[in-house]
Amino acid sequence: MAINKIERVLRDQVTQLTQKLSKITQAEEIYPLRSLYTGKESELQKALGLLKDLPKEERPTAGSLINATKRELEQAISEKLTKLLSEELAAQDAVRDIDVTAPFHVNMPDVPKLPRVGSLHPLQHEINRMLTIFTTMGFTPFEGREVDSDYYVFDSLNMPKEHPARQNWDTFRTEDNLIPTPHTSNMQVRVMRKMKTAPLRAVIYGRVSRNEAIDAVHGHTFYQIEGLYIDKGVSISNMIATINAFVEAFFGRKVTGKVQPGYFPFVEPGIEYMGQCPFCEGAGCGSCKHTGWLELVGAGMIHPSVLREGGFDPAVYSGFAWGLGLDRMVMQRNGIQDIRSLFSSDIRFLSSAV
Amino acid sequence: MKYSLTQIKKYIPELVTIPTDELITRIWGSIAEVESVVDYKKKFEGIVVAKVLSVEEHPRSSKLVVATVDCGASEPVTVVTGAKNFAVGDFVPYLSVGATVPAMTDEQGNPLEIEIRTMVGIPSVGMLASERELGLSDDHSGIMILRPEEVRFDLVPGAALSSVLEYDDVIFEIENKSLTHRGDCFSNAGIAREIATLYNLPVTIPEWQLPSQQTADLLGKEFDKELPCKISIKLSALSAVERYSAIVLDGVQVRPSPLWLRAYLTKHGINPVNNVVDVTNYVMLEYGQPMHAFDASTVLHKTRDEKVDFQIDVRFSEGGEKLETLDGKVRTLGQNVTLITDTQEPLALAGIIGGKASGITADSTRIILESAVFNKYAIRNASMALGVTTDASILFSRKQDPEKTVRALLRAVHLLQELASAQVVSPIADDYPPQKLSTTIVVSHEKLEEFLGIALSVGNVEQILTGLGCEVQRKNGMYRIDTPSWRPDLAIDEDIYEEIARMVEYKNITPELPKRGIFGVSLDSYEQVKQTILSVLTGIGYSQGMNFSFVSKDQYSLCRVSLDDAQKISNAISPDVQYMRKHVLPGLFSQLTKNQYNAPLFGIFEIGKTSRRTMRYTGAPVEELHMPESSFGIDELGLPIEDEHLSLGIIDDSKQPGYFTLKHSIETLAARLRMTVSFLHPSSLSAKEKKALPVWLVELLSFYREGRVALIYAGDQEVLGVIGEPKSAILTDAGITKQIALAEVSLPKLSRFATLDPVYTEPSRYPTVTEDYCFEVPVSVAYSSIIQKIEKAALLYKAEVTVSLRPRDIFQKKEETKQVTVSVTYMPLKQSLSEREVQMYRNSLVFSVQEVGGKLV
Repeated sequence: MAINKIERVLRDQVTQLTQKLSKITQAEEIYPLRSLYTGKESELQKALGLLKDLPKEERPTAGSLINATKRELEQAISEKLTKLLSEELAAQDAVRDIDVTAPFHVNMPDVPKLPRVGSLHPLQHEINRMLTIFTTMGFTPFEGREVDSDYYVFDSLNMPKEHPARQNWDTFRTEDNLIPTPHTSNMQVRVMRKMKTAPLRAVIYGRVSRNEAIDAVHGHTFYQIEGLYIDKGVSISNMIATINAFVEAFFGRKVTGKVQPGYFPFVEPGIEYMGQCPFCEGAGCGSCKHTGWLELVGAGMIHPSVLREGGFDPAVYSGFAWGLGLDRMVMQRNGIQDIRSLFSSDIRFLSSAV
Repeated sequence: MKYSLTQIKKYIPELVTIPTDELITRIWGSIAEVESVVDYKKKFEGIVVAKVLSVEEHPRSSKLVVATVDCGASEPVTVVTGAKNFAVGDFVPYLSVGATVPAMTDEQGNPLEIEIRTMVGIPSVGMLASERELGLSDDHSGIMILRPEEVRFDLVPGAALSSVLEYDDVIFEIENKSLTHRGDCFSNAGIAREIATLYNLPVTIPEWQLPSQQTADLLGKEFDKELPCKISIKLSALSAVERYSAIVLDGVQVRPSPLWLRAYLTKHGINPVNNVVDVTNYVMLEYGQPMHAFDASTVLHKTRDEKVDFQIDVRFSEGGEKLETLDGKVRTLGQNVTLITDTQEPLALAGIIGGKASGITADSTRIILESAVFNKYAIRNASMALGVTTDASILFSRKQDPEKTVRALLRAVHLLQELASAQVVSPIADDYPPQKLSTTIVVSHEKLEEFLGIALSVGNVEQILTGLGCEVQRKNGMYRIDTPSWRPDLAIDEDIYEEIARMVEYKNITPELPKRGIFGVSLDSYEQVKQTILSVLTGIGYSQGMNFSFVSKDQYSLCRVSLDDAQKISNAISPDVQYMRKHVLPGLFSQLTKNQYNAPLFGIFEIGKTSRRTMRYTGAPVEELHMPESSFGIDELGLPIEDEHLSLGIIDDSKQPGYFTLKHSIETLAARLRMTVSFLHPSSLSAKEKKALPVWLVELLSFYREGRVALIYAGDQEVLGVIGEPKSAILTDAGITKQIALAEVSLPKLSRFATLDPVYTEPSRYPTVTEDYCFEVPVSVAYSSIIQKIEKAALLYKAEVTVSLRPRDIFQKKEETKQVTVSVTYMPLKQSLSEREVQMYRNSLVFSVQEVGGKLV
């Protein structure tokens, strides 16, 4: 047989198969076709047997022709099969095989009960604890926005466009130039404008994010909580005492604190509050990286620009804000080594609370 | 930034009486957190200068030599080493037994302690070290040879190496981020001013730093000479440069710096290059003035007779200009990058990095030395746009004091005269546009005390402010403060309060709680509903999960849910954080999937915010919005609404369709929130009703298996969400082999129907009657329609009797009918029920069920 004849036969096979496939509506009908066109007795296999009779120089051309046809036939079959199977699945899915208004399925009056005691997420547990402390201290809670404008994230917090401190937060941005907020302070000016009168006591909490690669100690998502206090004649001394009261309530024991300068553009002055490690009482342990101290709180006296932005005259009022990250607290409390355990977690972790 | 305590002590001699630990604690308490402290003297303990007495081949190894050295001990010691680059008479560093190698660790990262080690039969007592092992450089080609001409102390066997190398120092580091607003603290001299103020100690300022020292005094006889070169400055980019000073030096011999200078740089974490570059870096560390040296021969100049004229133009780049920088990268510049040019070609990226072509090489002899201050925003923007951060750009982007350029230049000239045989061949060119260098702040002593909350002495306040460089005048309880040129960050009253607070130290501010009135705060109703949901769901066995607010394309496409209208992250570093979620379900679904083999039956729920790009707050009141939009009103204009959703799901390997297990949980939750919910297949909706469904819910419908999905309604009026089982194709793709069901509801909507403070009713005093009725109905009749019929009939008697229902069984053995058994309890309100009355109620209920084709069996 000449090569052009082989070619014709193969073309014909493809045409035949295409026609037959187009008529098929059930997946099971396809299997006989598969053996007919690609099986042992198929024209394709026969053509393969004829190869050796061809002149040597034509064999490679004919060989690749047969292979190409084989691929074409197999592809047509598998495409059709996938289509039919998914149509069958969809048809099966479309069957109203349960009464969605019923309390259980026919003949199955027993609905399984979840066997374990459920549990709050450890972050939620901590949020709840904090909110209890804050509300008993007279602070009204507000949950923060997750995505916010430049104005609330930066401008309103004394960080105009060119401010170098903007760099200190590696923020995400959306295509509409909004910012998944890197801190909960984006709510400060809002809360001031809403509450309007002093003394103002508010607590803001929520999810914040930074554009960082994830590893055991870094996440792009975490939780913060911050307190806000504004009144006439509020002093640094008041700030330190309040933070101390909060920290002691949180740990449920007396905590020795120390204050050092810190820099945050929305406060003046800014401080960092360190607490003597409550786990080792200052002796040094894994929780405090063997320093005896835990960095607990970032704080400061609210910057006059921020007060002004929130509608409080800085000549009359002063105030302070203090905030902390919840994830680290959760990790310390639970001895969690890998921050990734907190999100998308394993049910065995979630239900491990004892 | 790293600081040298030795150098700081040169500025503040009286500091020697203060223990290092105490000093560091004080810096921490008043300036900024100290990241690390390295005591090099301690690190170099047991390392001494040794003189080589003999060197011989090892008798049994051609790779080793055996040396005897005089290490200052009574007897010479024998050392076996692989290096052969030293000879008799050389001075070498010797690590005695018990010392640790400063810059080398074992494979586990533990320090290497020297012990007597036998090497091919000969014990080696101690070790000779290379520069790399000492942490001085990367040179590991042989033992370090100490040359008398390179050190500033006599080489005596047994002398502590740290003293000879001037490494007997304590280096402490403060994170740059802690000093974002304090450009003046980026040098040893800068931090010394702070420390001196802390302890109220006098500062000895080296004479070259005194503002009164004029060029003439420092340059001496060279000043009056007719100088062969001239350099002139043009500031085309006036907004980007605050001062530009430069000088030309000639006869420069470029070579490696002496050891003390190299050691100084290494301690500060800067690699030595050559004496010219090293001197510029030295001045930067000492004084906070970044400098740059150009090879003058590569700079365009005019020559007339014996005179050589250079002109430097500081201008902005035009888009598309190219410059190969010192790090070997060719950079294509956008517009408005500040450039140092020779009026034609760019020579350097101003304040960031030099150009390669104009850089100092071993052959450079005539150099131009630049000492300038650039605008912090210009440098920061260029550094960010080009992605180059250098020590210079770090300093400039934190604002430097333009007053110091010439003084730093003169300091460098002196050092280069000494170390590189440089000669001054030009006057100093200095273009210094007028600018505001000082601010006047007036604060009252009373306000200051009120702000800090403690009493302060006037003397203390004055000492602190003067120590920091302010000029202070006091009158009638007010301070009039003129700030120094290096403290542009001092601008408002609160800045002064901060200076005083940190300098007196926060620990000396006695804590006192604010005086408070009596007040009560409770969670608002929405938060209370949320807390109730948390306690109900965890109470019936659900665990609370948290998934990211960011979602990926893959997550959504696996769920067959469209990502249209999702807020897209434009600068994500990972494909997992491409979009903000519009639903909580896709994240929860992947969490369920991951956990399917971790327990036979479990439930997870999540409460989280969802948002859509175009669904924004328009200012109009949106009743169902809870937070924060409705709460903050107009402030939210134009921002996407953040709608909180509750999603819950179960995995189960029993026979009961997952749908029912989950539905049961939702009904339990609803009951606990004292609200009624109903479930309706989407096909029962009219086209108009379908159109009114929220977009997020319609999108989720494509996730569900068509025959096993229902809309969840509050009562029968408002759609709260959706429940069902995933499409079979999704289960195949996700590899799920168990029963699974998921639901999602809008939390603000749910909370509107929840009752937080339920009303309690006394029970009836008359006995109740309970009867089970079994109805046979066609299979197509929905269970809910039977219940509805019964409830409707019961309504007729509501004045006499309260009827409550409980499902008992749904049984099917025939093809066309099923038997629904309901337990009915009659609670009489007015009197005990007679058999006749029960009969009447029963007939009435049964009659009603007949309307849907049910008959009592």
